Amino acid sequence: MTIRRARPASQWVMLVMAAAVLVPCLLGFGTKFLEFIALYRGDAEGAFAISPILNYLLASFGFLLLFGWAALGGMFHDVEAPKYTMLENETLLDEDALPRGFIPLKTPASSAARPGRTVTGRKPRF
Amino acid sequence: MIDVQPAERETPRHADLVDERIVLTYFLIALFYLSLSMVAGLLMALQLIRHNPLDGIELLSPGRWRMVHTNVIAYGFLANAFLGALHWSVPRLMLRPVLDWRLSWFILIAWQVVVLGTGVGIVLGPTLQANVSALESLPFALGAQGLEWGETPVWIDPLALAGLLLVAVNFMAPITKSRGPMYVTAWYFMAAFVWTFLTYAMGNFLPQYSLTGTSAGAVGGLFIHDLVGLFVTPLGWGLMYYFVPVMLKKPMWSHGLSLVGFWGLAFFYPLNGIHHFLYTPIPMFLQYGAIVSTIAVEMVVTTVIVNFFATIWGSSRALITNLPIRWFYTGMVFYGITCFQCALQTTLTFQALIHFSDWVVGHAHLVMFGVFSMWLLGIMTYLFPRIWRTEWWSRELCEWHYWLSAVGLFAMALDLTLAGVFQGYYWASLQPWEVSVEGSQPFWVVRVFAGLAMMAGQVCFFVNLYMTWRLSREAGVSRVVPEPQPQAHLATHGTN
Repeated sequence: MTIRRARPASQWVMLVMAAAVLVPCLLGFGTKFLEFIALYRGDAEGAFAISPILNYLLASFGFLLLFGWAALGGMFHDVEAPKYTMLENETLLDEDALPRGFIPLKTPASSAARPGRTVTGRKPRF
Repeated sequence: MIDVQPAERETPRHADLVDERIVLTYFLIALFYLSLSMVAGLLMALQLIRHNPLDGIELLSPGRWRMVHTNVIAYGFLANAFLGALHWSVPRLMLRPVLDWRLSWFILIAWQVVVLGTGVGIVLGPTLQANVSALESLPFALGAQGLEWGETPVWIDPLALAGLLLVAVNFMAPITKSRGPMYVTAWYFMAAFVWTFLTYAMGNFLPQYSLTGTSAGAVGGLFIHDLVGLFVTPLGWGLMYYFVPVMLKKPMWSHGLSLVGFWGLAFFYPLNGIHHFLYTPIPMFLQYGAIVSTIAVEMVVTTVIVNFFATIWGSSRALITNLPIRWFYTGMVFYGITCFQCALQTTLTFQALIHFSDWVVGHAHLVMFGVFSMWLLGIMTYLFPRIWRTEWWSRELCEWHYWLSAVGLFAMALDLTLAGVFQGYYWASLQPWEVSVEGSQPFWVVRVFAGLAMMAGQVCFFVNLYMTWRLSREAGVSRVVPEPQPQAHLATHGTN
């Protein structure tokens, strides 16, 4: 199997899209959160929104910690490496998991007979 | 099979990692529930066109069947199929088996108790409680809980939550033991195990025991959407990031972009749910917050779809020749459509038109069947013959399965979407309710036939499955069973 290294274009797309996700959303959330605090201070009615917001903040804080742990642990140093490792492992695992030449679903062109054959080559009997 | 001594190997054997029997059992159970859910859906569809064959039978009343339809597809089909796929993908991805196979089998049985208990509770609960005096005084309802998508009876909830905790423990063991940068699938899975547990607890316990009124409604909204976004979405995308490169035999276009998608989902999805409750007494800043969050998730979705279509670029012939890949990418196209619908739905103007209409029903079918069921059926199309070491009995039946499912689902979603718009305008014109019901009849008739097409597709699949199984039995092909734990000889490096 030939595995090519990532093209630089994909990294540019990643950076642009990351910015497109992060910047407007942080602005939007920040504004709404400030509104929430203002409302909560001025009007007790706003208090009933605490449950969903608290849920969200707790969950997000957990993921922020996880993100920090991953970044500090070097998980993002070579960000493209895991996709190659995964495929290499899969190839090795399949070497002994399947008989050689086994194709679960042959294409019409490659299929020799209808209905299919077993891996032992025997024709079905019904 | 190639026999390599452990001492000579750097990578553990598939047989050491995957118990194919449990994968197979989960898939077969899932398919049973898929059939049950489709029958329940058909009964509801027949009720709407006034041809309910079970009319007058209290236990089988449409209200109860509808809940059976939704709960069985979510917890019976999707959950079981996901668990089967996880038992294949997690150990192979992390190069470590799950924590304990006995725990896996225990979870399998416990989860069926949860699903069957839910079904029995929904169907029998209200009748039993009304007619048996000893049950009448119980402090809780035996039947459905009053929460959309969370109708699991309250007496089942603790067991379901314990089951989800065990699932997390069993699968997190191989993930947390890995060293070095993790592949994006592992991130999605890890998050899904935590999110599903928390989402289930939040939705089923907070509104039931501690919150009331609008606050409970807001949490209910979070639960409904988080069930889709934090349970099925991370598991579904995690599986796609695993199976697509494996089947195409080429890596994802950009692993970095996939991580942007994951972290975007993690931070922006959880507040989405309140967009189900626009125009309610929930404060507007919270409703607008949900809209902003939805827009953020739309961007996240774009990153994911760009990545997958860039990956298949140059290998697009696989869409014709490789059926599982076709299932996967069809699901992704439907995913794009549902997300586009979401963008429309969260505008206040549009919401005023389609709220409570069949548009929402069409949207739900597009998500649950068009996306996640399609992915899982694609995974099954790939794994069943691998597990049985036998080619599919008939390629034609595989094709029929795909086309009837995809076209039937698309017709149903389109039909219900249009019906929703019509219904919205009927209601907006302030005509009597009956007018909108009469106007919906043609759409509901089309829906029945679309559903029948989808069911016919599954029948093709079941026939093919049975014949393939018979073939494998005749050939005497044995499945791979893992060796007893602990597998001390497993390699500890090279994990991702």
